[in-house]
Amino acid sequence: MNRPVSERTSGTAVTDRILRHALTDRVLHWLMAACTLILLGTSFLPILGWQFPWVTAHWVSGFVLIAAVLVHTVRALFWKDIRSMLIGSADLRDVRALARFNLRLSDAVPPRPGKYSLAQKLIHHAFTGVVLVALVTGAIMMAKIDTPWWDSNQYILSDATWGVIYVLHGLTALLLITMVMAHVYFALRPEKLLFTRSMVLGWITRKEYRTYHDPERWQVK
Amino acid sequence: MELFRTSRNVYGQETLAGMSWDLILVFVAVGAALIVLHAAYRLFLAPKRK
Repeated sequence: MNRPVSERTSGTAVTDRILRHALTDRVLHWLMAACTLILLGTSFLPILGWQFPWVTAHWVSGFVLIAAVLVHTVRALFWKDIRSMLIGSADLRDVRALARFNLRLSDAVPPRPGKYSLAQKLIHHAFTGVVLVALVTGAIMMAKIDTPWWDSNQYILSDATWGVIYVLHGLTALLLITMVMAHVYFALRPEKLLFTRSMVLGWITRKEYRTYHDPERWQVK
Repeated sequence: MELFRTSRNVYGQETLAGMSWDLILVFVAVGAALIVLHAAYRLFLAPKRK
């Protein structure tokens, strides 16, 4: 029986299974997902009528999310191959082929992507932007609540500036509703389940690697 | 439908208080529409990859 490959590096192939997401990255992904769901639940459920003491759970999960995002960012910048997530000229060339194929203007099957497809890169970058704005505005709003480390102070900003902070925080929360729905939908689609499995167990099979990825664009060691 | 919530500060000035929560349903509806449209496209219209 084949066992999952060593989890030290992404894209390592020792057996039939190829590591797509290392354990640390999977833990970070699910930690960020759990924090996001708790943040959405503790913000919107009280508005929808389910009253419970939500403030502490909200800011604590926000703190955990900030920490997880910082660890992920440092890992991505210094330990991971960040180029695999950047949108490059090859991705832009793929757009034309994808559009022509899906609009039935061409029978040519679009090129296979590297480790991440253009759609995966776009949703990642959308989450990055929206979550960062939510975290920065949320961190500023922490000034208005009592924590173990400081007392609340609502006078650090003008009313007008607070208004902008509230609008940005609320807008990003609303955007996250739609984005989480779309993300979960695509993760559960039959043809995408291998990627969801790899985010749970870490690996894809060598056959899946050859079928869904261009070995030239995602080179497995 | 309002886009923003407003309130009055101690000086009686109208200030922004955040996004209108009426928009929750709009963003849920957009997400649901995206899912339904994509699923329908994949089911009925998308070309099959050989």
